[in-house]
Amino acid sequence: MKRYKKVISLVLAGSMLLTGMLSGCGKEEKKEESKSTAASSDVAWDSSKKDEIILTVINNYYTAGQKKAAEEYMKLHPETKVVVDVVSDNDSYMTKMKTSFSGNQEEASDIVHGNFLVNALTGSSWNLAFEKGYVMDLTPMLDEENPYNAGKLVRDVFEESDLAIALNKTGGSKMGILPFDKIGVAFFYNKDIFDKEGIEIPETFEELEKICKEFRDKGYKYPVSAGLESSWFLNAIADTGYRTMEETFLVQPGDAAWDESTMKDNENFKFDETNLACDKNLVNSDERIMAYKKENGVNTELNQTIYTAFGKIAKYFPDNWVQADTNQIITDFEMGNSPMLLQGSFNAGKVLSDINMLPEDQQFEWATFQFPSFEKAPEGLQSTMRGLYVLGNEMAIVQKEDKDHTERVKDFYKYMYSPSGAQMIYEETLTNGNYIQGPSVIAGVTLDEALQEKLDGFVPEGTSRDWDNLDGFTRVTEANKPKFYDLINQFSVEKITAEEMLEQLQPLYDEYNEEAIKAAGYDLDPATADNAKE
Amino acid sequence: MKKTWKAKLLPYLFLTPTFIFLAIFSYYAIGNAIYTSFTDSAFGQTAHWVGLENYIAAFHDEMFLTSFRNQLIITVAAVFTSVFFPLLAAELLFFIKHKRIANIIKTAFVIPMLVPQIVVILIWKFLYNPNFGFNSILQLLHMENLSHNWLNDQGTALLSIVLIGFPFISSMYFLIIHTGLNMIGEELYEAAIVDGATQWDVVRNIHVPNLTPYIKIVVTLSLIQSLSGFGLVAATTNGGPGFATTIPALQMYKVAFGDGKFGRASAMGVILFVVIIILTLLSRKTMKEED
Repeated sequence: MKRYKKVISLVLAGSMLLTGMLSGCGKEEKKEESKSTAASSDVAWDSSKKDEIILTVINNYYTAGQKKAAEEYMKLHPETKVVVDVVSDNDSYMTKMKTSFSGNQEEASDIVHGNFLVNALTGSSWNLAFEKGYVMDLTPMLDEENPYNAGKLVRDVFEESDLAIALNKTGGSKMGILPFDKIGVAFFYNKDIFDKEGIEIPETFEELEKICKEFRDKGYKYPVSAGLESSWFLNAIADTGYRTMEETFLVQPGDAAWDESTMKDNENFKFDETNLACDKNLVNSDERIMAYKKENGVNTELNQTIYTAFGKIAKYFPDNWVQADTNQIITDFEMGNSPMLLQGSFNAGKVLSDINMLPEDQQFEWATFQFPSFEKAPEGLQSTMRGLYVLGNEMAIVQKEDKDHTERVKDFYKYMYSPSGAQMIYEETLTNGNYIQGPSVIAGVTLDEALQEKLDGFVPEGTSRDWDNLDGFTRVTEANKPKFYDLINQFSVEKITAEEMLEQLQPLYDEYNEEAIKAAGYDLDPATADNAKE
Repeated sequence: MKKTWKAKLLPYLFLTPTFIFLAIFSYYAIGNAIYTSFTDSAFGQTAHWVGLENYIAAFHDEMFLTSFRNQLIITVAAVFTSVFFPLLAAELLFFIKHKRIANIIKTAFVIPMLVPQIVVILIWKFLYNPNFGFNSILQLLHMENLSHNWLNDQGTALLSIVLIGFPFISSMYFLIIHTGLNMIGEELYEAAIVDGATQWDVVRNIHVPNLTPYIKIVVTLSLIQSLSGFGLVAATTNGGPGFATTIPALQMYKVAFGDGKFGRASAMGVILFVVIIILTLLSRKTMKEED
């Protein structure tokens, strides 16, 4: 017994020694860590005070990564508590934006999805969001040091072209978001079904229409599984028509919104069909677009042509595709009910992992193809179809008066937008089965090869601009949306023609525009500055 | 013995805190909604008095009016299922003579009440999924031609919503009616036995007349719940496809929190409020006349 006691005491003593050594190592590591913290301890806020910042995000996209980033950040700055507030879906998110901003803005979340915020509060107008003081202009932050990237400037991790996209997207004079990733939309296709049915990947719009019919004849009720995201395909068709008159919609010298430093490419612009990226740095004029809408309405010959072309493919979408549940349409593709899926890169990770989880005999090979161009474009449209490849996760900082608090929020934002922070967000997101939206645009962030290969399939030759405002898709009030969806459904199943659909859409579109004009205070003369309705 | 004024005042004093909270959280909200309905209150803008403009707009809103048709179907079905099935279950339970078995069945009826409503809705949503649930069963029975995208088909969406909760027994209404049955005095049954009444006679002549006050409560509660709530529709179809399942409360919610038009939404809310009051009074009056 005594011998056992000796052995036990030796083991205990040994383990204590080992623990001591290990904890010693830990202390060394902590020292290292505290050095890096010390480097950033020269902070712009009162670190003796506790404070809380709130990051409000939509469930699943980067959620796990953002939570991890918050945890790691709090280790560096224990005086700042970072709360990741996860909202279940898009609609709830917009409702949250409305309710939280209808109260005291100082109490609202600090970092939010900017695109949803403007969608909910200002009818998607970033200029109005700046004017109303909802969001912060991030332009000055670009030239600040990022303490989480070896003291480099915040702008150093971005390509200038991506910063230009962010600037143009948010009105052209102020930057409401910094780029984090890019998203694209493409047709996913089930290679095994295509091989089995002896069908080739379409190279033209006409071929796409032909194979949809072939699949339907072979018993696939809905050859293309599609949801609301399919409106980007409509947008790509609209792009082939509207880009030829793009100069009509740009801020011009002499306009009140003109800013020489950011808008010089607008001057004397004319779309060049031989250079599909020629319009990437242009800045739209919301007021000019509104004036065009007011003058021409939605039931134009061009829109009839656009919708007629779109309808040729939309008739192969599921019934009520416009209100379909995204998970449902993805499942239809994964179960082999639909050989094609019209979706965004933000669901490529989900499809990849879902298929890997299927029993081996149900797994299949898949890839993507871009929106195919017209072989013979309808009158009024150009042949080449541009795809969609735009900024994805658009996080904005809410404008607040408390300077100390704002500095903390900015610091956490910089942490997420540093190479190591962004890499952590990507890795943790993927490890936890959440979705990344697309490839990162932050220099130094790398992805797993298989996923990167899939995401590369979303990069189009040229990126179409957003034409929903002009083709009227979803440009109705929320209250009128059910009526709009009903029209789209009737059109998609060929109950009504494009012309009939647009004719019935006209009053809903007018109502939406009248409200937007009132809210923004437009006098529809771009030369004069306008004041938003108080 | 005469009550002192203090004793007379005491019950009112006990009620006062409840009334204060009611005034703050209910009556103020109602009053504020009525006031807001006469303004152009909208998100991010200063409100101005606009008189009846919001009411006129609501009565010209084709979709708001159409949504009442959907609401009518849902409400009629909800009131019927809230009364008929719990009543049927309570009656069947009543005639089970074996107490232990009756208790087990009663417990079995009550246990599903513990499951949150949203979970029940999600289970039904799964059952209506085009790739699983009912369609899988139909496939097993080689009746694929009957399969549907139940919640996404104009023809089946509203009916599918109405059927959520089948067999409609696991609810508070079953307990109310069951309690009502237990409150009926033994002497009535004894008299019925003496008169040689059948079980059907007992149901018709003793149960139904004595259960009327309980049925009234169930009708009123189910009517109000059905007219004022929109969670079921929002969580299943969100009013779609198109506006096939849109109901007034959901439309009001979209106007308020989708478009930020609180004045317009308040007017819709007031209209709905008046409709609920009228229907409740009418239903109670009708049942009173039947009494």
